[in-house]
Amino acid sequence: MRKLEANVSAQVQRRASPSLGNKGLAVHGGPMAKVSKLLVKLTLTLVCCALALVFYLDGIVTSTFQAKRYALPAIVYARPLELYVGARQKIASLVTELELLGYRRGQNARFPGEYELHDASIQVYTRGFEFPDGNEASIPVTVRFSDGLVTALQSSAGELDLLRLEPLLIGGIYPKHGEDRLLLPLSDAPPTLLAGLKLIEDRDFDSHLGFSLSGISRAALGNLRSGRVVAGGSTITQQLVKNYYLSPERTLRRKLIELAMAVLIELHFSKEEILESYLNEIYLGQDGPRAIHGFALASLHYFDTPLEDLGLHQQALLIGMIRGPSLYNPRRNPDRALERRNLVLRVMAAGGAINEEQALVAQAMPLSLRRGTRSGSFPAYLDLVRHQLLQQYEKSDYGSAGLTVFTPFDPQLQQALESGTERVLDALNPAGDMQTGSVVTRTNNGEVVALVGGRIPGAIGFNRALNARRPAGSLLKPVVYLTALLQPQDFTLATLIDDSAFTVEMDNGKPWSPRNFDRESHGSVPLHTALARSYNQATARLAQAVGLDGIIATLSSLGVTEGVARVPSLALGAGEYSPLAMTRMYLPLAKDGSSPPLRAIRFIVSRDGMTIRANTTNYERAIDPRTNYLLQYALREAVKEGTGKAVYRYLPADFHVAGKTGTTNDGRDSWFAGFSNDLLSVVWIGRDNNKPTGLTGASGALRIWGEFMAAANSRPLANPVPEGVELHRVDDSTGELTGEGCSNARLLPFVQGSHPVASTACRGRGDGVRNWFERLFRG
Amino acid sequence: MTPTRWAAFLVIGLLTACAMGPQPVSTESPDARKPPDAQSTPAVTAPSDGSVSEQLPAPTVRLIASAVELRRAGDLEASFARLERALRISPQAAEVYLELARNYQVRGDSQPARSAAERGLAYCAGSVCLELRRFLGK
Repeated sequence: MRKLEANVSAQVQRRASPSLGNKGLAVHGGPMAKVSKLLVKLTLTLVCCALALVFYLDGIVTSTFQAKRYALPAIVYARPLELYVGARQKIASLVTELELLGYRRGQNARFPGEYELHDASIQVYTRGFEFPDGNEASIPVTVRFSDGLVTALQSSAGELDLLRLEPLLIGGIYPKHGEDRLLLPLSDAPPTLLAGLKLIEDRDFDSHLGFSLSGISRAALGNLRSGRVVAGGSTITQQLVKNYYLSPERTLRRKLIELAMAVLIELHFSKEEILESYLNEIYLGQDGPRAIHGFALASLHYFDTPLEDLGLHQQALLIGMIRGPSLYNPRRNPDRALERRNLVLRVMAAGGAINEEQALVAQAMPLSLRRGTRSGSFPAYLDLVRHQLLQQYEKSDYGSAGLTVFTPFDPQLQQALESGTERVLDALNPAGDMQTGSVVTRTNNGEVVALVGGRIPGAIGFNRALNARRPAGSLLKPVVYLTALLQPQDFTLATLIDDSAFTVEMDNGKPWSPRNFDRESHGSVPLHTALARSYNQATARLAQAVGLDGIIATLSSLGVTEGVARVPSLALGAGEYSPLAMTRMYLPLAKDGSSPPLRAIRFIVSRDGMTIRANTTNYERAIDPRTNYLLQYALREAVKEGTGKAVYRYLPADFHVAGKTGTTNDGRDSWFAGFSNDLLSVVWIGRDNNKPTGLTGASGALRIWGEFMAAANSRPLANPVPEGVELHRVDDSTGELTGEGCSNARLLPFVQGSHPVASTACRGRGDGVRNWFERLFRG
Repeated sequence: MTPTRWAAFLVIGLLTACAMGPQPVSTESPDARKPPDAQSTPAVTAPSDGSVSEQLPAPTVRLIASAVELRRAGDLEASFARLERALRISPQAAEVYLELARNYQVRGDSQPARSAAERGLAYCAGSVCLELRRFLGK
C-alpha cells in the first residue's frame, strides 16, 4: 500500500484551502475584534481540518487494518514426487528429495519426517499433505529399487501401488515490496517471547492507549542530548502503524499521524489483536529480495525451527533484532548479535520474564543458526510462475491474498540442470563472464520442470531464460525444413538441394551471401542431410524456394511471433529469441506436432482451500503429425551423424534423442535444443555484452544439455510412426528408390504417396548394413 | 507377463499396425510401437467394463477408473485432475487420452476434445483405437 503522508497532506490542503483562501469575510468592529474573529475562524477551520483528518485516518484504520493483518504472499510448491511400482527413480535422487524436504535420517523411520537408507530400499515415514485433488495420508512405507526403477512399495497394511510425498516449498510471490510472512496465532507464541518483547519494546503496552508519555519523554531527552532525532519512543502500536501505513522518515508530521492512528487502532482493536498483528508484521531481515516479516517466518529463516520450539536464547536473538535487523544480523555480525541477545536476556531476567539461572544458561548458548545460506528458493523459476500467475489469476492482490500455487517444478531435474550448468561453465569459462539460460519441459504436456536464468542459478537478477533476446542461429533452421516438408508434393527428406554458394539481394538493395561453417560447398545434398549437417547455403536456398512468408507462418504456428526478422537471413536464425521462446517452438517438434502451452502452474488454491484454477492440457495441433515425424527423423540424424553427434559423449549409443545445434557469428551465441521421449531442454550460452565466446552450439550449450540429460533418468525417444507415413529405401546420392543393401541406401519416412517414383537399377539384398533408423524399426 | 498375454499383445499389435498403415511398419518388432510405460511396468487386470487395456500400470488403471466415476458424478474438475495425474505416470496411455477427450466433450470444449483424441490415436492399440476413431467420427 502506498504511503499515507502524501495522501494526508493533500487531504489537509484540499480541505484547508477554501477557508484560508476566503477573501470575502465581513468586516465589523475595530482591529482587535477583526483579529479575534479571524483567530476564531482560523481555530475553527483548524479544528475542522483536524477532525476531518481524524475521520479520514479512522476510515483507513477500520477499513484496512484487518486486511493488512491477514495479507499473505502466495506460496509456491514444487510438484509432489509420485512413487509407484515402475517409476523411474534413482535411490540417490530420492534421498536428495527427502533431504530437501527436511526429512531426518533416523533409525527405522518411526516418526513422520524420518527415513532410513538401506542398500536397495528406503524406509520412509511420509508426512502427508492436503493436495487440491485429494489428501495424502502420513504413512510409514518401504520403497524398494532395482536398476533405477521402483520395484515395490510396502506399508504395514500391505502393498501400495501409488503414493506421493508432500511437495517442496520453493518460494513465495510477494507484494511489490517483497514481504514474506507466515501467520502465527497469538496463542501459539511462547509466553517468554511475548514477555521479552514487551520488556524490550514497550513496557507499558498493556496499559497505554497507543502512545506512552514516559517512552516519548525518554526519547525526547535522548534526542535533546544528541542534538538530532535518534530515538522515537514508539510503542508497539506505533511501530505497527509505521510498518503498515507510513514511511520510515522521522518528521514531526509523520509522528503526529502515527500517534493519531495508534490511538485509533487502540480504540478499535483489542490488545491481543494488536500484539498478534505485531508478531506477524515486524521486519526481521532480508533474504535477497525477500523481506522476512514476523517471528514465525524469521524463526524458520534463521533457525529452521518452528517458533514454538525455539529456545530462550533464540527467542532473545529475534527480539533483539527488532532494533536493527541489519545491524544485528547474526550471520553478518555474529558478535554484535550475540552481545545484543545477551542484553535482551539480562533485561528479561531483570523484568521477571525468566529467572537468573535461565538467563545464564541461555547466555552461554551459541547463536544456533541453521546451516547454509541458500533459502531453497528458485528465483528464476518463480519469475515464470509470477508471470503466469498474473495472466491466470487476473487480480492485483495475487501477492497478498494468501494463494497457494502448485507447480510442476521438479527439484531433482533442477538440481541436474544446475550442476550440469556449473560444471560446464566452470570448465569453459573460469573467468566467469559468460552467461547462460536454460529451460526444461515435459514433452507430453508442456510443463516447465526446471529453469536456469544465469551463471549462478540461485542468484536474483536478469533472467536470461525468459528475457534474453538473441539470434537463434541454426536452431531456427528446422522451421525452414518444416515449411518445405509441409508441401510433400514438392519436398521430401530425399529431395536433393543445391549447397553451392550464392548471393541474394535484400530489400535494402544490399547483397547477402551465406557461407557454410566449414567454408566449403557440398554439391547436391539430400534435404535430411542438409539439416542434420546444418549446411547454411543449402538452407538459405531452400528458404528462397519456400518463401519468407511461409517460414514466418510456420514460426507463428509454432508459437513464435515476437522478434522475428523479416529478412532472408531469418533462415539462418536472424531475429531475437529467448530460450523460453525456443522451447515453445521445439515443443511441438518433440512430440506429434501438438502444442500444449508452456505451463508453470498446475493449481491455484485460495486461502480458504478452494481451487481457483486447475490447468488441464490442451493438445492443440500446431503441425501435421506426419510432417512432424519426418522432421524428427532429420533431427535424430543431426545427433546421430550431424552437428550434434557430441551428445553421445554423455548418453549411451542406443539412447535415442533428437536435437539441433545453433551458433551465431563469431560464436556470440551457443545454442542447443534437444529432446528425449519425455524431456525437452533448450540451452543458451553467451555474454550479456554480446561479445564472442568462441563457442559453437556443440562445444558450448550441447555440453550442458548432455550433462543434464545424462543425469535426468529420462526415457529414450520412441514416438510411434503416425498414420499416413510410410517407409521407403532411397539412394541418398540420387534421391531415387533403391533396394536394401544397395549403395547409399537409406530407409526414410515419407508422407503417404510422396515417395520418389524413379528407381535405381539395384534390386537389393536382404543382408545389407542397417543404419540407426532401420535398427530402430527392425529390432 | 505370461506367454499367453505376450502372444495376445503381439497379435493385437500386428493387427493394429496393419490397420494403421504402410507395409514396412507392420514388420517392426512389437516393442517399437509399444509405449515405454508398458515395457517397464507390471501389467494388471483391467476393470470389469473393459475400458482400460491390460498393459497399463496399476495406478494408471485406478486413476482412470476414478476419473470416470468422478465424471459420472458430475465432478469434472476432480476427474480432470485424476487424468492429468494418470498421464504423468503413463504419458503414452491412449486410454487416458480417450477419457480426457470425453471430459472435454462433457465440458463442451470440442477442440481440446478432438486434440486429445487425436493424441490418443498415436498411442492406441486394439479396441481403444476403435473407440478413439469413433469419437473422432472416423
